[in-house]
Amino acid sequence: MKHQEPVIRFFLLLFLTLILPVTAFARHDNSRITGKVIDKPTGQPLEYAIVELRDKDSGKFVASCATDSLGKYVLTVREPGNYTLKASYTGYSPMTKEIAIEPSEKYRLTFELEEPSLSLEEVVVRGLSEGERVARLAYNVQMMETDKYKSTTLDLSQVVDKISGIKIRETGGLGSDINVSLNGFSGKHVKIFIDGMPMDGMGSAFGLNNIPAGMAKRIEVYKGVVPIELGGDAIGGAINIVTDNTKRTRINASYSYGSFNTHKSGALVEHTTKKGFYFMVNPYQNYSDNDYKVNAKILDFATDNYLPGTREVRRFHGAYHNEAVVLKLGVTDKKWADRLIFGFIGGYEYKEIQNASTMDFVFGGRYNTATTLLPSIAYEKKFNVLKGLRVSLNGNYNFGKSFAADTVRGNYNWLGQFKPHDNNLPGERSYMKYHYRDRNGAINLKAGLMPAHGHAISLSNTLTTFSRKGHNEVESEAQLSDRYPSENFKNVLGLSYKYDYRSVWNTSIFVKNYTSHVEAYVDSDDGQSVSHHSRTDSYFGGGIASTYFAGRFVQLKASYEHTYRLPTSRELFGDGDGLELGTSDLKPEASDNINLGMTFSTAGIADHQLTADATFQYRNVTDYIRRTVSQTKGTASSVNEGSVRSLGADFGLRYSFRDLIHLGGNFCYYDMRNMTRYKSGTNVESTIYRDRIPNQPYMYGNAEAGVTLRDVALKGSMLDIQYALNYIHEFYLDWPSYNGDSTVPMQLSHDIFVSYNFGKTHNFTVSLECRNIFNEALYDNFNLQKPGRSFGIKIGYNFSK
Amino acid sequence: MKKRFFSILSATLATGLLSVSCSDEPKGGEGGGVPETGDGEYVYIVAYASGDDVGYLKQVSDISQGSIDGQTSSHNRQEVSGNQDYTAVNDKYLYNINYGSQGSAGINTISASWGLDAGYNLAKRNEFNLDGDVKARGVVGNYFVAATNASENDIAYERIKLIDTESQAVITNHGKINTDASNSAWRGQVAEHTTFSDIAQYGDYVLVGMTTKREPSSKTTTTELAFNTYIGVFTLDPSDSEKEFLKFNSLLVRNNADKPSGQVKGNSRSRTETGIEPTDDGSIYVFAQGNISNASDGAIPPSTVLKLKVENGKPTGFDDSYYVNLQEKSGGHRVWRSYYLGGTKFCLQMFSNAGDDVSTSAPRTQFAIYDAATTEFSWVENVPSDITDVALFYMIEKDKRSVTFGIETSSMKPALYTVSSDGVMKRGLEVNAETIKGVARIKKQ
Repeated sequence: MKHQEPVIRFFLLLFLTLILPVTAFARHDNSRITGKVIDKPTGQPLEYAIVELRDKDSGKFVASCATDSLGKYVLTVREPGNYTLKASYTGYSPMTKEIAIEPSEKYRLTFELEEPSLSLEEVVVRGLSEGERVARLAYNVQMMETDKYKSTTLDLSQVVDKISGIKIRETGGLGSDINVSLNGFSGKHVKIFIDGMPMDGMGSAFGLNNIPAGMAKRIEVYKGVVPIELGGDAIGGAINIVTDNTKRTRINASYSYGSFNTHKSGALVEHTTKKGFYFMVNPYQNYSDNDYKVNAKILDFATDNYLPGTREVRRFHGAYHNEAVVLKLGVTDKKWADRLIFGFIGGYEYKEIQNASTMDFVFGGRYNTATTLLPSIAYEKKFNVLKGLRVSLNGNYNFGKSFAADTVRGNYNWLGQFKPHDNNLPGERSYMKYHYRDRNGAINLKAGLMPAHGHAISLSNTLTTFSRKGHNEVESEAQLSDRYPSENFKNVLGLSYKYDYRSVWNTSIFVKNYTSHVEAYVDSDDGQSVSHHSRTDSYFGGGIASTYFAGRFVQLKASYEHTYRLPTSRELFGDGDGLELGTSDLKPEASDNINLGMTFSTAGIADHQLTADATFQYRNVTDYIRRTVSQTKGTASSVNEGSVRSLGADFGLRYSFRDLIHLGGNFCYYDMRNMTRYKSGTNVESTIYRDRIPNQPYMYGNAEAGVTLRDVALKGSMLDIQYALNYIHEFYLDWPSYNGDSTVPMQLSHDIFVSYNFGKTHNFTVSLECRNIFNEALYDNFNLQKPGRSFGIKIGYNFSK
Repeated sequence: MKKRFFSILSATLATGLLSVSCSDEPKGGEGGGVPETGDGEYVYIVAYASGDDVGYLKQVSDISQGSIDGQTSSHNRQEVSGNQDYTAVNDKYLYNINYGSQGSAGINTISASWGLDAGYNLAKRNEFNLDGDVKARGVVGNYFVAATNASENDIAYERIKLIDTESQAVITNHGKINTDASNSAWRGQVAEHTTFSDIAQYGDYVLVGMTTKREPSSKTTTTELAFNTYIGVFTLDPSDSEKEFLKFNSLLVRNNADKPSGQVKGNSRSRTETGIEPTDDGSIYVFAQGNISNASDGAIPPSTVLKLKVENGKPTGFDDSYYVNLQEKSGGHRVWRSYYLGGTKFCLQMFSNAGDDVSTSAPRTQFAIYDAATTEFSWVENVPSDITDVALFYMIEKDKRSVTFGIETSSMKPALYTVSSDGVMKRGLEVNAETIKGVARIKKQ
């Protein structure tokens, strides 16, 4: 422990120097709470016990810390008020005390904890906040609490983008597709869950990029092994959005307006009665013209020649809107259910298609619509029959329908000019009025057991189903592929065993079975023959993950996994509108993963908090699935690439001084190489052997800084100013060793967010933001241009008790 | 102990990053010392690709030997996006037709052409839109003529595209020639709908190979007329007010049960450009590949060589005295494509195995020399036994009596291979690239 103190002092000194001008203005009328946490029977101090302070009314987290070797703790409180103080320690029953804080006062509270009759896991769950419990897992997980983004106009994808090691690449403006890069992997390699359920089948009206940030309580990012509880197959890691299930009454409403005629509004009402009846309703809408400027090649319709170079033009067919409502109804804390919630998501989405998968293909009339009708159920229950027995069941089924239309009898250029087809045939690309229904189902059953102190067993099974059937009403007769559905069933069964040694070291070992069944009718010969394709695969994987807490500040993590990723329904069957094509004979990816991680954190011990983390990863993937874009057809599809090796690391550094300022940044470098040595069927070494995989950012980073000032103009008000910098290094669109001209240039953009809360209760908030301040040209992984500088204003009301 | 651990971890991470970040250097050397321009009459343009949707062009002065590294930007490298479907025009320009839509009314895609600048460096001339498919194609004077079969309201037609290669004007993307059995200008002469399969200039005329199909749909290829040979005689009218641009003149039909022959069809699906071969002495030979069978009984005609009669400079019919069954001469191999080498010699690209027929996957890696004057057939020697691909884009040098292909094998890097009229294949310029697409030559003006 003493060996680490010089290191801590160095970092504290460094950051104190940086923030001195700001802290000079900080007020110093704080109150202090000190005390001890001891073992009641013996009176011995408990080291590493967690002491957590929360607002008594709202339950909002205020501060926490861990006890030292003498069992002592110190907490600083800025605001007077009523609070709850909770002490917890592994293997002991937590203890909660209420405290009324007056300005500039000192308080001393001692906690005498004793071992309960409850199971270890229950103690851990109750003793630590949920977020802290997740952070202490052996898995390489990183978390972000989303409280500070609730006053912004950001959606979930934009919040996730700020997490170390993650890069979210939108293909355009509001409503566009998103591509998540994590661990050097991107796209479908990274699984996204909401409350542990895969989001794959929840419909595009309910996606990361159109859910308001306020819906989430926190975001968990698994950079290495994905716990079996998430029940998915992932090679590149996973993101789990955890919604806010705090038992309280909450009402909030917000409206925002921004550049490109972007309107977003939403409201949320939730309440849990004293008898345990829970309801929540959360309607929201998004609208944007998405008419931002892009640089594009212009086709002169008079000559059918392209004008030299590119010109800046305004998008003219990118309008998007979606409306959705999330309903939840259920009960909590019943004998037969700790939690039983019935949910429903209803949503509608309208999306104009301005261009295909590359900017060279421009449209002026294509559009897609989609509805989401998704009932869900969530059930949780702890049983006393066996020690620590917990069962949960989550399920949902999407009855949504979609429609893709391409009916215009001509073509557009980027100037918005229209040229009718000489033959008057309809269809900008391919004449269609395609009605299709994608039936997505997911059900997850989890069970946990604590057979002995420190030992835990978990079982999880997740079944996901997909079925697409539809018809193109412009076809004179039904196509064979329309009469028979394309179907995919995936099942991931996992069993894990975890041993926890006094919260100092814990290890999980696990095995998983992956089963996939695909049924498809494939147009394999340009419409001349349609063949039936059926395939069933079953694989076993497994691994081990371990973490060690080296003293108070350092956590080390290591894991190995042999895993599989089963192709998604979109990779297998496309997205239905003819631009994202399916490859129904895709093989699952197999991967051997090694992850090492280290976190250094001084959180909770003083006003100055420093967190640094580093992760290192190695992946050896066979049958790597790579998304490619055709410059000829404007379509995208996925192919099995062969053998791919990835080696990389990401680093993050965060500093905060009380809740006054925070600084942070992260940097990632991933080296993903094609390791298929010989050209298919030959002894000739491939020129792209050991070449970096194109279309993927491999070096990127974020930095952010923020300051929170109180009592500005109004007593009790809060002014929050945040700055963010986003960096992506230049990367290639073709194989880099060819050193071609097709690159996505280096991107460096700056955002600023300012929000102001009125009054003591902070019920009203006005926020302003400017994204991409210097109007840099930003692109997605395939060179689709994203919006330039944009402004936004948001007015929000929030009530919580 | 902990310090030591952190030191080791830091060193490991740093070493890993350094080792991976230093390996982006281009691989391979330029090798061969092949000059870009040289003193010769022509500059050669080598086309290759990195394996995906990106192709490249490099200029060299000599393709008979040496090697170039496709991964460097030397030799005035130019990048080509999308489909790489090259056509050389009059040893003057190189066109790449980037098409991909199938069955649609047409989608704008970026095609391009190149020529030599004043310093004899390859330079892009323009980018243009040639939406929709291009199957049959040919060069008629200064015009690049392309055709694709299509249908509208169950009426079959041929969609014509016409480019003036000198002015770079795209004259039409939507010329339309009715090819329906009941509505075409040659209705009554062909019981089925027709599709263009080769376009060749002969004096003032444009000769068009035709195949037949029972249904008007562009996706239908079955026929009951596999034993008929059809050559359409057209004239080119770039200012045609009826927007046909190829004006029908006459149809030459051959059906001889004693000397059976089939249709001019040297393609699997796209890119048809050989079969009708005018020669320097004014003769016109037809290599009727016959690679389509009758749907009802599966009967398939042999691959043959025919000759057209010419009267007053105009093709008027088939010369019944000229009939060569190439399948018999080759020991059962069918013909895939034909390349005129000058004089009376032709290079023939043959199906690799005797008995292989029209299957699109059947290998076509054998080559032969055919002398139209003597009807002598001989196999080309020195052909690699492990050819995996022969690029569709080829270069004929009649002054050298040779044709050059881009060829990939399972044991050597891609290279250009030249077949001379003496019946020997020679490996030439090697290209360090994932795939090779072919070669063209452009004359220094």
